[in-house]
Amino acid sequence: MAQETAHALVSHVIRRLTFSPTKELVERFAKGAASPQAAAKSAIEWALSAPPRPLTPETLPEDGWDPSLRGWLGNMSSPEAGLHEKMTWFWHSHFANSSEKVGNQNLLHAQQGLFRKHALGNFGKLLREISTDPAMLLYLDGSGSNVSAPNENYAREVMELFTLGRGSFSEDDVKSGALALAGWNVDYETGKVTFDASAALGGEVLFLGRRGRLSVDDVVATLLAHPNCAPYVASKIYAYIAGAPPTKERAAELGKVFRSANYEIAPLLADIVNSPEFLSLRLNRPRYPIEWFVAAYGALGTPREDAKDGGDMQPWNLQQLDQLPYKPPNVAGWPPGPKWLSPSQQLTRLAYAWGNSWWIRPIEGSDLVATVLQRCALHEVSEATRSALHDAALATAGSADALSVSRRLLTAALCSPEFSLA
Amino acid sequence: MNEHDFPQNQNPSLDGARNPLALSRRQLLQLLGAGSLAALGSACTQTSDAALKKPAGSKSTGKSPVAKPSAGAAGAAGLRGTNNRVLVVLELQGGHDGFSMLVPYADDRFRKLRDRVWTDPKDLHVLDDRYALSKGLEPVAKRLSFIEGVGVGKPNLSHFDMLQRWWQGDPEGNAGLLTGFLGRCCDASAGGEPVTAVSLGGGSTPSLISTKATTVALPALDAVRDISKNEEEQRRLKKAMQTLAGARTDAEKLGSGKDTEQLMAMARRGLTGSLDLAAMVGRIGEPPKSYPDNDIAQTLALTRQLISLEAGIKIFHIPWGSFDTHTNEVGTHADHMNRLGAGLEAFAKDLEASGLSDRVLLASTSEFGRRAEANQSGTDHGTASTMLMMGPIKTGRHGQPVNFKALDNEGNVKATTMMTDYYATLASWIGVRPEDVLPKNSHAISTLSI
Repeated sequence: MAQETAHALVSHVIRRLTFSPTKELVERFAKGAASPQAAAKSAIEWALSAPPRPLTPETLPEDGWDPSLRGWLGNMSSPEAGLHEKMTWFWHSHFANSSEKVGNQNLLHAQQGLFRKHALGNFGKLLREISTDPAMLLYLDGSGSNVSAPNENYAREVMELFTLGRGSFSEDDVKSGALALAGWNVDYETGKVTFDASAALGGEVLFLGRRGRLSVDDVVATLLAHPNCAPYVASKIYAYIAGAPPTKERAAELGKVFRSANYEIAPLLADIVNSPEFLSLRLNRPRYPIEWFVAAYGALGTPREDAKDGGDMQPWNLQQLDQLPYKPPNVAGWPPGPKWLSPSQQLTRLAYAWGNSWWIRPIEGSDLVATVLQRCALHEVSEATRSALHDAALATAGSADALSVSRRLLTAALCSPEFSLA
Repeated sequence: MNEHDFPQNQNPSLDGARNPLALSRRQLLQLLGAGSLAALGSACTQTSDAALKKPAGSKSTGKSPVAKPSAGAAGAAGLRGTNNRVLVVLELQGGHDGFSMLVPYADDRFRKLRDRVWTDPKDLHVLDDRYALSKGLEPVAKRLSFIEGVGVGKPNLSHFDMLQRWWQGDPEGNAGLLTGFLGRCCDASAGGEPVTAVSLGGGSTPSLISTKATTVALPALDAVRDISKNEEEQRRLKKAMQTLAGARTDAEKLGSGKDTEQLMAMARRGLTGSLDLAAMVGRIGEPPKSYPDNDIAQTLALTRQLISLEAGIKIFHIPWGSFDTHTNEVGTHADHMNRLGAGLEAFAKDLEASGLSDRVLLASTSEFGRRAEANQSGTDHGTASTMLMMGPIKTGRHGQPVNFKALDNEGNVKATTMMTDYYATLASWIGVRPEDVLPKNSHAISTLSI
């Protein structure tokens, strides 16, 4: 592995543990460090302990979709935001609820608050709260489920996707879980959640080996006690942070760490990011569109003073990039993998970068390519990309104005393979 | 069933490799040549993890996992008279309740089971003394064909398990396939066109994973059109992007080494593909005005426009809707059918006016149907369901009705037509021999006169 400079390692840490890997952040930890590893360590420590960002705005106006979206993106873009922000997003994709079905943005905004509250907290508490969260009750049809004809949706997905994984439960467990979870209702207007004992389980069920008149608390406790729960959830977090799924042995180890920490999330993450492999697992997964988008916005920089209508983040582009917050494709959230490098994804990114760079200040300096790469926090760059960027700068330097050259260079850097990877 | 029931040369199994990044360089480049990034992507998702698992006890065949498809009768030329045909696959996402589309309203047992989600026949389009159509499909009632009871022998009730089986065309989900059914159809019928299949509106889809043919997802058009406002600028930008995309794969090791190198190669292929895609998008005009302003209708309008480019696209994949009707089934389903009926009517008339109606077949899929008995206001996950088709084939009902008196242990109907036979029908339409893309003994439904 070449290029293990302080800048490269710090850039890796900041890319993985935050949404906003700016030039300034990289410099802050890389400059003057005793060694690349020491620089990376200080960046890790900062990201782990950076204070949580508050839910923004605190309360939503009448038509709250746009403010809710912009508030969230604003938090992601903040140079103060660390791993807490990154995990807030993780939980949104893990407990994926879509506004298309939930309908009420206030409930989804509050749900974001729940993810914020527990982002680095306790998974057991989060699981319990999400199980009767109003948006979740609406999204997976827990609301109105009656023991006389229970709705199976949440009971199935909580096991298949949220806690245990496929193959860990039977259809009888789904039916029993649905009976145990019946009786909850949401008032759609106010979001108030109530429990109707007359619609809830009266007798006993056998759920994942536990028999009794189980409540939602019992269901959650049974899930947490299941041997597959900790390794399943820990492995998903690992893949997000370290870029690749853990080996079987590592998954078991992570499960033990998570379980023995009583499902506290912070110790699990500390184990992942302080393990020796974390610093070498660089550029090994595509950036999700949301990661690419926030980083690209940061690299495009502040607008020229004379461009009054410029500088907008244009968050609706995230819809075209297939990752609009509050609109996951389904209950499994946004899938990982190279699909985010497909031609259609690349074309949409190209359109965004070009379309949102007309208001930048022309880039100045003797080495335009180096300046652009720094601006994009790219410190591990192939010769192929470097020379393509040099060509782009040279070929038209005499004939085109400085702004056009800058736009083209930035667009090419933002669409480069290196910037497309996390 | 095991993977040996599949035609081996269509089955790019990864010997022992669970991680797609562990593909050999040659395999990878061939897959990328397919533009089938989507496919690789799906192989990385948790939900399709099993796609990479080889069934226990299966052995390496010793054949190249990405061998070219056979150049048999179903090769580039296609079966006689089928080489300019187009297949439009409408994937009804979330598990579609076929019983609410083609309603067996006179079945007493069904009536009882569905008491809580019942629609009075006077609010349906009654076809005969046994069946009625959802009112929304009334405008195309005479154009549609229905296949009843389509499903698999040993169903599962997980969305993600069943999606994988339908996407891959693998009825029991244990064949260890990496390609999608539609992707294999593309491989078997590709004839040198730049793009063989397009997915519209839902991003990339595992069903189009191919080994040879190019399959792409088309992004929203207006974002892309913006790039090309200034021709000179566009020319320069394109040149810069071409240089970036065309760079030799990087000799020095970055990041994680091999994994990084392979992802970088994918990213460069993606860039190349994006430029081709931009060129194609540039040739599409404004949508025709005759279509209603709803999502599925507008996607069908774009489909017709793309067919009219005569660019050789053989398969369109349209994921649509949210049919996971655990609650409020009556309203949600009717709303979907209203949009679909209006869209299909405009599509059918447009195809006629464009002289295309003999060449285009639309067919639905869905990972499963809904439970026979309703819950409070909706239906939980089920098994077999009714499929819808529209095209130059025999209309009306086909296959065998399901039996609501003989439900399985979970309270679901048993399939009367196998998914693989339904798929064999679609393959035959575009001139692909079922035995080249599906398990042995998959036969097209003969009554449709395809």
